[in-house]
Amino acid sequence: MKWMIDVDRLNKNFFLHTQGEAKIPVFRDFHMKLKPGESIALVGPSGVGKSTLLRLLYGNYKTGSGKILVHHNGDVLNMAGADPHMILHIRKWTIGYVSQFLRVIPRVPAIQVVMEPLTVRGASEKEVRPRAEELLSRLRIPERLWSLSPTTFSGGEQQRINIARGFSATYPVMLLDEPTASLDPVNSGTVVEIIKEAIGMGTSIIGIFHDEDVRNRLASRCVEIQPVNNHTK
Amino acid sequence: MCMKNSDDIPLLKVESISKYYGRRIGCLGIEFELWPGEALGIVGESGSGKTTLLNCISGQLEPSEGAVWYSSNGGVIDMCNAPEPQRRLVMRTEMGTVYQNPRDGLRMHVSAGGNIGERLMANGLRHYGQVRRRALNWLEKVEIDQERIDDTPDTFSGGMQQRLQIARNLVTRPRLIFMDEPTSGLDVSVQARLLDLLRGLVTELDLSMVIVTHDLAVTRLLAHRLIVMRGGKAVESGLTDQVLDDPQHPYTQLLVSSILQP
Amino acid sequence: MKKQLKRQSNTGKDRPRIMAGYNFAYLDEQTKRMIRRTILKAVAIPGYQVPFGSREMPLPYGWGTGGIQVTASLIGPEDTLKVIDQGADDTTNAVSIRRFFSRTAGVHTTTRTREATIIQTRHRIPETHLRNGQIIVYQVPIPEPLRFIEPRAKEVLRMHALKEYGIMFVKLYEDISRYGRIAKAFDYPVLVNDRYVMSPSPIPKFDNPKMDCMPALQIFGAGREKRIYSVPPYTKVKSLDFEDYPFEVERWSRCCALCGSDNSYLDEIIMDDRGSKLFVCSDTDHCNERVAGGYKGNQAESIEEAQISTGTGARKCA
Ligand SMILES: Nc1ncnc2c1ncn2[C@@H]1O[C@H](COP(=O)(O)OP(=O)(O)OP(=O)(O)O)[C@@H](O)[C@H]1O
Ligand SMILES: Nc1ncnc2c1ncn2[C@@H]1O[C@H](COP(=O)(O)OP(=O)(O)O)[C@@H](O)[C@H]1O
Ligand SMILES: [Mg+2]
Ligand SMILES: [Mg+2]
Ligand SMILES: [Zn+2]
Repeated sequence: MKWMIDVDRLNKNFFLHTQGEAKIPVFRDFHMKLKPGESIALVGPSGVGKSTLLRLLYGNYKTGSGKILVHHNGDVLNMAGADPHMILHIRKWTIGYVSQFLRVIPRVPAIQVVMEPLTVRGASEKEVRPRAEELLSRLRIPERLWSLSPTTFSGGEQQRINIARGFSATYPVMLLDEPTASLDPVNSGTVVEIIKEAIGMGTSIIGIFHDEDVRNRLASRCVEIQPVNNHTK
Repeated sequence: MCMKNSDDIPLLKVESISKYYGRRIGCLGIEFELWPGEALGIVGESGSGKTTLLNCISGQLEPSEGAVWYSSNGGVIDMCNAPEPQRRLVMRTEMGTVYQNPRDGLRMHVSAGGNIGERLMANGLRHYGQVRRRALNWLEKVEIDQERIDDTPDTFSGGMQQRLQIARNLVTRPRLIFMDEPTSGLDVSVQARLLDLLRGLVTELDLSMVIVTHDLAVTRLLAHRLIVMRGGKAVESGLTDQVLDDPQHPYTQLLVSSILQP
Repeated sequence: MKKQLKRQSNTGKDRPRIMAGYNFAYLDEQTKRMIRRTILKAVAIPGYQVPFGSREMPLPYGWGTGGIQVTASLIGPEDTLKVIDQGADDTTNAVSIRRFFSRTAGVHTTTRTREATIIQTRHRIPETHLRNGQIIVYQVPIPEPLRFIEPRAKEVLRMHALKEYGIMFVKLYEDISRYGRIAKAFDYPVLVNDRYVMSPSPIPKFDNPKMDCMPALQIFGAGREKRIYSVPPYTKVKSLDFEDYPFEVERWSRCCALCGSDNSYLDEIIMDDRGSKLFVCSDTDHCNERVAGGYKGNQAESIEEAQISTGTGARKCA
């Protein structure tokens, strides 16, 4: 396997039909490859399309044209235009994603939020609880909060729940959108450790890391995203 | 834990379903596949054909064109052309419907226990004690006080009636459940509780679900996939988060932008 | 028509005379043929309600017009007819139906169960075992057992067609949860030949076991509702129940005050203004036969003398 993900001639525009048919071009003929074991940091000015790229790779945004090839379950599949059922399967087993913000579900306790990626794979709560508890402890979420819904948690607490959730299961590929953004240095350090462990276990990573220090510690190379207008080549 | 291959067959395969009411269009050329454990949301404005579509695929209305294939425990059946006994058997053992109006889905003058027990008895259970135990068990599951088992649903609140409908349907452990606006007409807090309950049951029982709603937040919470309908047609469909976060069709964009936080 | 009437009519020696101006057994031949076809269909599909073109009869609905039409279509000059109403041969209803057939068909009538070839009944099955060759015709007010719980007639038809009888058990379930037992004492639903749920007409559930594998042919006629159904001889008839609440018939701690029978269905009669009660067989023919055979209840004298015993002490059976 020469690559885990192969992005080929990717184009993406947003069309805002309700706002005077505005067109926002984000990618034109963009390409990149993620090799096994690699850890790529996306760089570029704000609004250039870093988060958009991660969301395209995760199937959250719809690809305009081009291919996003993924090795999944022994096959090569194109994320762009894949059947939703297939995308869900890829998300369950192959590509993990830690978004910038936790999307909380009312009344679901934090510990359950963290265990979910494992339980949807068919494991019992009993089997996976130790892993969830380990992550929550390491991320310094007080035990009394575990059984509460994160709805009322602080921004930083929510983000740590989000990270625990993202890393409870292991995936061949992880997409990380500013995982340490709203964290203090101590917790930020823990997150870096957790990510490093995942890399050590063979996970390839594409991430957006604002913090230069974090980026230096995690990234094996950087990919710079160019604004479309100045985009040459 | 193992990565199950995803190329087992879909539970429901809907092929270009259309329904005409005379010259008026109910729904037009809708197709999708639903996989085991998946929830599909159908959204759209009033009169866009959501209920029509739901009734066509749940075997309650005969479509004018198209086919619905259901892979039952006993093999794939053509829901539109299967003999009625077979279709009804599948409908009462492997499927369930929760109606918008509880009056359509409950027997209002039969006790809660009798309502829950009906399907069990229809499927041959002939032991009162067991019917009762399972009714009690389901009342607990849907968070209705077990002491209300002998009360009739007309003495229940709207939210309780919807939860009773759910219990009545799920007691035989169906694989597929259809819901038409199950939360409309309920208080926001009651809605949230109901949705939460549904979410839990769907995972616990590995249910597949088709849910009609006009509430995008509901689909965000419950549906893996979404069909957006307008004028009887599906103007957009796809993964729920993709449709809501990156809507393509002008109508979907309008829908998404007109709510605060889907 | 005239000829036919002659052939069918009274050639016997001592039979009653047919009243002038009526066709044999009142109904015209066309109607009788139609009803016989219905009956054949009903016999062929045990427990299934066959619709028929019910005719106006010279008595109001609710007085057994369904049963009378069935009897009229079956009866021949050689038949002997018995008519009972709640077990009794001597109530107004029974007497007038008997007279009706005696006048319009000139047939023999009887009160003796054994002698009858056709027994028309309202709300009872005789205690005497019926034999093969006899026909029992039930008068049915409401033939549809599912109607009370599912008012949509079309849906009810579908339930029968597809043998979807869960709803019937819901009704029994409701009884148990409300009263601790299945409270239905009359018109207790049965499953015929493992196929159709059937209403046995408002007979006491005490009579239900008699329907099971009965050697006689059973035919049910509902005049107002225009339905005929049947249980052919030796057909399985099962009263619906739950494993943990099995079907049971009512039992009395006493015996018939007149004949001492300890296994017949008893009627309670109030004897005086103070509410003194007596229990006697509801089947008058059965009771009379026993008394004639020398059996005696412990109240036999006091009744004869119209002297009312108010004693409530334990009664011994003869
Ligand atoms: N039985 C019917 N006869 C004629 N037209 C019908 C019938 N049922 C629905 N329609 C029409 O078909 C279209 C779709 O109706 P449908 O009930 O499916 O809408 P819906 O999307 O469920 O709407 P709502 O959100 O108001 O429930 C509408 O134009 C409706 O008026
Ligand atoms: N769902 C969306 N609908 C419309 N425009 C979007 C959407 N998501 C992002 N954009 C636009 O695409 C561009 C890239 O955004 P984003 O990927 O969030 O940038 P960043 O590189 O800062 O992560 C921006 O102009 C943003 O406004
Ligand atoms: Mg961003
Ligand atoms: Mg509707
Ligand atoms: Zn007696």
